[in-house]
Amino acid sequence: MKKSILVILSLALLCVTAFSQNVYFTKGGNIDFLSKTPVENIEAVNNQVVSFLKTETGDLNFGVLIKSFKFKNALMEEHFNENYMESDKFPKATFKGQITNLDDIDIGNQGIYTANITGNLTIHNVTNEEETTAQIEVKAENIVAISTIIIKPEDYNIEIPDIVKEKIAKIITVNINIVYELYKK
Amino acid sequence: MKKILILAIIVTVSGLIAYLFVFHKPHKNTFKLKAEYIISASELLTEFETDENNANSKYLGKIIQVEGEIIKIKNISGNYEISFIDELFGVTCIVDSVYAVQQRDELIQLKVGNNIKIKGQCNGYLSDVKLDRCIISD
Repeated sequence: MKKSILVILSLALLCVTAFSQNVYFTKGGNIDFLSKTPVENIEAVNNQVVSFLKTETGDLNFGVLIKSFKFKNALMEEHFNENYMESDKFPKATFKGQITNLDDIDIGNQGIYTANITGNLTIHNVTNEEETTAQIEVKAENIVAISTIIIKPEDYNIEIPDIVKEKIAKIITVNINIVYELYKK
Repeated sequence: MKKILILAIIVTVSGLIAYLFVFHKPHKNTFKLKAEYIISASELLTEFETDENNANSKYLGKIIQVEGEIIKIKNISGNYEISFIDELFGVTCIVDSVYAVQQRDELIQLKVGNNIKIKGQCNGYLSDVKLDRCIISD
């Protein structure tokens, strides 16, 4: 009798672990960037970011369409797409990475955690390994993740002509703001 | 002397106009643009699923009109997100707040299950095909 209870219990436990392969997602994530120089500030926002987070493994995926970055100034948007990002040739940027300190984050418990993230960032068809930290807030109904990365255009083969060099910052601050929902299928 | 003055004025004014046109030109207005392609949402999705590169070279940055049955409508801080086929793996059309204000009456009436035509700019394919700067065209 005792044995069968044990078997049932361990089976139940197995089921729980098998089904808690939780996947969180968003397709309306927010990424904005700022290029700050004394001459001018250039800002753009993209709120159609797709991202998946597997809380069991810490796998983290991002997909961003370059043409979904919106500028206040139409000319800047045009230059960004045509001259710098060449979005007709390279329509998207992606990030495939992982949370490396998964043990410090208790997805089952509400609270604020700091995640260390490493992964491969591909922009303009150039892939670099990037490292950052994110603040992850586990809430009752969703997970909110906030992070910032610093990107150098030259690392991604983005050529900036001399004539506008003073207008475009050497380092660009990219803010990431995601509200993940549990993915149910 | 008068001639020089007039010339100076003409040069200044045309310079100013050129400056405004070049550096402060307005964003494209979807209302005024003609759709280069008219296609059903499911056909568009199939094209991207089967050959993304080919579909990109055909549709990227172009104004297209898609037709389909709404499966989800979301209002995210004034921007309407209308999904066809599947919320995550379908076709997503964003009616940006600027247009949403102009089409408030049409948008309020939209319901899941409605068949509609939407015109907008195709931005590419992630898990879904994305269109933005959309307007309801029918």
